[in-house]
Amino acid sequence: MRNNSVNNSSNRTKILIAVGIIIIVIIIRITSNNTLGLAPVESFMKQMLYPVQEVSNNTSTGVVYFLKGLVDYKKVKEENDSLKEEVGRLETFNSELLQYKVENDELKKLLQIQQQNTDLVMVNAEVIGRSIKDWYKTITVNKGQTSGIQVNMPVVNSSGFIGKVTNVTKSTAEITLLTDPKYGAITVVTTETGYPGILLGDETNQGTLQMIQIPANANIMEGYEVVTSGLGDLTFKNLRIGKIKSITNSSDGLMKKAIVEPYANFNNINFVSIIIKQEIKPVTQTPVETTDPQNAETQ
Amino acid sequence: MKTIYYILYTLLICLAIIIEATFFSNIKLFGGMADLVLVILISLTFFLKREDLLLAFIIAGVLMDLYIGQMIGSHILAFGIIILLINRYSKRMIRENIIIALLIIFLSSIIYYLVMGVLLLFVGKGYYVNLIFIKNALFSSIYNLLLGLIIYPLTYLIFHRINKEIQ
Repeated sequence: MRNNSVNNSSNRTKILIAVGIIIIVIIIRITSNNTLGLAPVESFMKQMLYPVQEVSNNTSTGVVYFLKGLVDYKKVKEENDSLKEEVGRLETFNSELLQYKVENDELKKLLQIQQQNTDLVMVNAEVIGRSIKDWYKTITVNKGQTSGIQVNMPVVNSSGFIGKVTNVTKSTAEITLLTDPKYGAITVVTTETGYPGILLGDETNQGTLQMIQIPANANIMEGYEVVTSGLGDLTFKNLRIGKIKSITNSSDGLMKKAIVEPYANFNNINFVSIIIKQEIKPVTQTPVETTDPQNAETQ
Repeated sequence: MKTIYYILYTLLICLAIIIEATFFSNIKLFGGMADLVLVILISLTFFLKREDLLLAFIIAGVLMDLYIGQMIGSHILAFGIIILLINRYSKRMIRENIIIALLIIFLSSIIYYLVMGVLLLFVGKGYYVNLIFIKNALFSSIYNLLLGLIIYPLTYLIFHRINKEIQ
């Protein structure tokens, strides 16, 4: 009797489960493509979950990105390293191109000077060394005795007169720049008025030059151009040097002193032209750069 | 089980669904997705009584089905089959042995995908059941196993504390 009741209960449960499964399967079949009129329930549930879901999604996105970042770190790092390498390579390439451009511009200007001064025989040279100490203002170029270069030859670059050859080997030449106080004196004149003076290097190391021995009544002004006079050691005339920056009276009041700012940037010289000789022509020589008629008259 | 526990359980499943939809859906293991609700449910199977378990899988199944909105009842059925199988043998298992628990989580996940695959074939969506489905099922099972490493010990600790409080 008791066994029967247990069996009946067990059978009933099995039947219930079977019926439940059948109902569920039917619902699954129906809702596989269409909803079972449960849309409001679903939408209510989703509506209820929405705020939490939004917060969770925002948080999750951050966490996921962080985790992905950790996972991708190696890859990103490699990519970054590779890109850095590429950028470095391109930067080098770019700076090389810029260097070529600067060199090209400089060489063009040198060529222009040579074309304008057909009476000057010049040898172009590239700077291959600079003085390693600040107090020596010399440069070394890649042309020497074999190119006909000798001591005391004047040197110009695209901006003007920059110095003279002080030491020569077979294949190199050392040029002492105008700014070096040990360069010595050089006789100059102002282009505008033709007043003579003596130019010296500046011991203050500011890259400027001093023009001394100017009479107190000399008509010179700031902004006047200073060129070589062709007297003294340097026999070449009209080589542009710079402009008068300021004028001061000397302590005795008899003479003036002018500070000349050179045209050339002595910290950035890459190519130079060494003037070997000046050919004497029957006609009037052409100056290095355009000079005004007044200056021409003084010569 | 007290009513408050059912409410808490319902909220927990809702939270699990949300986390599954927002967090784990973004972190896949070779295409396999984690089934947080399934892992929670299987972990609970070891600690709940049969009557409570019945309600637990129905709540989880209904919520999952309502959230997905398609093939309503599929999760109730799949969870039901899994719970039935586990509950049949769980009394012989040692709860403290995490390896057994993890193995069950892995096998349950396989069964879950098996049931879902059959149901998909039944409703005429057999095109979903292909090699990719199998691969994803396998990786999802592994993923669930890894999740189980965290969820199962946590469940164990929670129930251990609850039992202590009751005593």
